[in-house]
Amino acid sequence: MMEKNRLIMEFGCDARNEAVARVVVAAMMTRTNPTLSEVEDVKTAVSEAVTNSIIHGYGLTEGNILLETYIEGRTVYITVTDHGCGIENIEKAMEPMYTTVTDGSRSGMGFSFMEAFMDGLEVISDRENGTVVKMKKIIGKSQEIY
Amino acid sequence: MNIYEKMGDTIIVYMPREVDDYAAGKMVEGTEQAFAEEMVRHAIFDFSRTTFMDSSGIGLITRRFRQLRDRGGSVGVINVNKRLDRILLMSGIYRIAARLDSGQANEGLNDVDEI
Repeated sequence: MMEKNRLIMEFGCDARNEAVARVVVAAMMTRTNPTLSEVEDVKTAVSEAVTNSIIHGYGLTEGNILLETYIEGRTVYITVTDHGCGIENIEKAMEPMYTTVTDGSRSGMGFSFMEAFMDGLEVISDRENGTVVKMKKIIGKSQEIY
Repeated sequence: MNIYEKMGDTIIVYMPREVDDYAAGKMVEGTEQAFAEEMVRHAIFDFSRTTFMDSSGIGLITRRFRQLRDRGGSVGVINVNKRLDRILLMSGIYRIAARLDSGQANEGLNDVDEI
């Protein structure tokens, strides 16, 4: 991935950065001429991925999150990488309503939302290296459902 | 603007502009004391100023639902725009939260206890 238009951003695992991350991607994708609903889809998915890195990847520890995005034609590619604790069982983690953090306000819907709002989702994770979430959104493809 | 308002046994929670993990955490913190009161049985989440929400909002509503259910109460949502409605629908939250029309806020949730 060496698209000239790529954007690479690294930030600390502070929850306030969730908003920064999704706004940056929203700004990036304006050049694909998306509908408002497509922008919202991507913002939600980015928010979910970054939140996962903060809450689950790093938990009570510290570390940086890498956000990479680029555009090819009218497709937006996004990668969110952390070097946190990784996911023990990806299949289980992707089940709707499944969460390992039960004391907070987690819904267990993070991956379900990413899957529902994007046109592609790939999760690579191991205990040594952390988690990489790759997503793409094809702009102009989906019909408005409202 | 207050983040919540109490009317008898009902608490109305005014959701923030952007509901993410950070804002939801603040919201839980800010209403914890109010929800701890045993007399509070029903909660209405007012989304009139909300323009963005991720799954943290679902987590927040579910958390309060569990708390109030134990007291025989209920939860509802109000002033939900189309985008939020899609998210709420997808998450299945309408199985536990009633969707209210704006006029219903003042009547409280007493008539939707069965759901």
